[in-house]
Amino acid sequence: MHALAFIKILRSVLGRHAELTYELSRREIAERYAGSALGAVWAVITPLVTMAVYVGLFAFVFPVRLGVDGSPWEGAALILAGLVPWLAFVDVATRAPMVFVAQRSLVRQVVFPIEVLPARAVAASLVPWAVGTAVSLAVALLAGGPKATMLLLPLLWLLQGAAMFGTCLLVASVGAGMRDLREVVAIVANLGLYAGPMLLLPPTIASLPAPAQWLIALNPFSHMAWCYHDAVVLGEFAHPVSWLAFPAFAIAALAAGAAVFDRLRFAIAEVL
Amino acid sequence: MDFALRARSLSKSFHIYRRSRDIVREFLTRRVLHTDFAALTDVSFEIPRGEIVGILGRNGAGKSTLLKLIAGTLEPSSGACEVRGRLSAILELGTGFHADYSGRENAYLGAICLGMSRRDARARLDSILAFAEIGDFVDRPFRTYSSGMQARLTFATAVAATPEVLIVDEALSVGDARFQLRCFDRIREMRDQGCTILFVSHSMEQVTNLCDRALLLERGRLVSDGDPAEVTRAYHRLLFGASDRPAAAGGVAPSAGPERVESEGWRMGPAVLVDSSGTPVETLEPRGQYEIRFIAEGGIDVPDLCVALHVRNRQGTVVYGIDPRTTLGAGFGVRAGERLGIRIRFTCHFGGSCFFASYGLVRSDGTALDFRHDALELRVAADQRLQHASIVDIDASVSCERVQRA
Repeated sequence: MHALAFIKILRSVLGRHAELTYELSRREIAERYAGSALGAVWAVITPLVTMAVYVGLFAFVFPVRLGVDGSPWEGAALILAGLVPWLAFVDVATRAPMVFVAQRSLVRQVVFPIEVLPARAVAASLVPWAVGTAVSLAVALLAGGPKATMLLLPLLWLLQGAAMFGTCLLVASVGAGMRDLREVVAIVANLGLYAGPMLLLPPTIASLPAPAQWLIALNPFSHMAWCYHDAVVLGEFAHPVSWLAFPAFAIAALAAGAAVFDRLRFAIAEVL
Repeated sequence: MDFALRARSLSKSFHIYRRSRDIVREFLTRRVLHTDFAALTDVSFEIPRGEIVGILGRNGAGKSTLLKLIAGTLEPSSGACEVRGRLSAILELGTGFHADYSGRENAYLGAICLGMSRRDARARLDSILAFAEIGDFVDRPFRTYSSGMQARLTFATAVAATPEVLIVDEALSVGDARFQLRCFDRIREMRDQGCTILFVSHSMEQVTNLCDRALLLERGRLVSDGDPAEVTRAYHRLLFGASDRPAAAGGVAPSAGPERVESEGWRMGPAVLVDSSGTPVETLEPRGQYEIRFIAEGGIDVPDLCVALHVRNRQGTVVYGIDPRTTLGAGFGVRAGERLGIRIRFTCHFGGSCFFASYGLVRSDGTALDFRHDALELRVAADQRLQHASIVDIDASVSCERVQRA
């Protein structure tokens, strides 16, 4: 019964309460940057600086030969393709524990469909995510030209959106009662970056000891990054396993998040 | 039977944990670390469509828990609660409102939360804000609002979605007297359109005047259900033991911008309340002589001008009304452009409470020329001779004499 909770929740967020989701998301995006002098410019600057630091460090300062044609731009394209979706995910996940806690008064209001709040959190990350995606695509086009597999990007975005919404539902529901979750998420987000192909390029990974390679292969976010690598930079299904693992992970995350949320829905209002 | 609301053996108990980490420990070890608190035990009732039901009970009797179960923010521990129709609820002041958003934005979002489309919400926004009467504050942040303003905006938003079931927790008690009066009018109006209203109140006066039925909760159990007068008496016994002294009513504050009906170009100026020496007064003394004075200017010829006056108490009950046809003989003949000074003289035979006078100019057939509803507040000082809940003072006197046995 709970396994199908996600259908109910998606119908609420995107169907019956679509206008509420839209209206709240619009405000959330506007407010994230309201009050700062540069306003929405920060939505562009912040992800750009983060990306520049990682790309500069890992593609140019400590360049690792890719073996193909050795251009550092191809390394940069790979890093960006995997890093951008990861940063978007982290953005949502780190805000998730506070989603219900910060909106206590909405959660306690009866007529308010609280599943809209995690949806809004996901929507709010769309701006930096879109900026990052644009940069990543631009660099990939410069480095390797257009690829037919880029047409698969909308599918990847959809899957990632589902995974982010599920994760947000899960973390927000549990986080309402367990405030420690904030620190846990922060640590996982910090370590996770180095336990996948987001920053580590293929030759680096190949040189790692077997247990580390296993760890990377078991990290679901590695598969997310590999799918983006294939679609944006490599132009071929170089990681066929990832194309099965990532969709499976995305759907599982959505179903699990929705199931947990559905289970805890009443408990959330009670603990807040 | 066509019910709007049905509770069957509704019970709710809360797990009470001493420390928050006990929740995790209990989950992991499966060892019971909480104590149960029964907030509501085996409550059953059925409420048909179009009834106003008051819920009475002392603090902690389970009133709010019951409302939250009906509203669906809490899950019952056992039993069931069924609601038929669209539900709107005012549980706490300003719940769901964002402190930094303006009143306008909050009303708009609140309406969408209640299930209105963005278009409907935009269309109703003006009427919501007009009903809430928050004036210049509409564009200021919600956190700057007084609790009365918060209550007004919350109520106005909650009723805008024309709910079929409306739940009101004590939120109305913070509004000023005039707003309460308008809320009660609105609640009655909604009832007449088939809406079922459930509200918590500590005012027995409100419950007897407004409700068709009352429920009394005590320690989580439904101890009385039925006629408001009966239930109120039971509540009274709970509060004060056997004595039958009625509860005190709270103080009130006047409010600006009363509702006004105007037609055919006759305009009344603002009314003043003066005592017999002509000095403006704020509080009326029992049995004092007073006058309501206002100026009226005419736009058209009227052969049969009459003055209308009626007085309501805070619950909206008309306690006095004069037949306008008797006020100025067969009617006063006036011409367009004339200016009249009108004085309504009366003796204060009201009990020590707060009343609202509505007055206006009408014609002998009853058509209003200019009329103001609840425009003048009559605050009557308490009188030692009267019981607190007296609405009128009939100036009773008692005599006693010894008589011979027959």
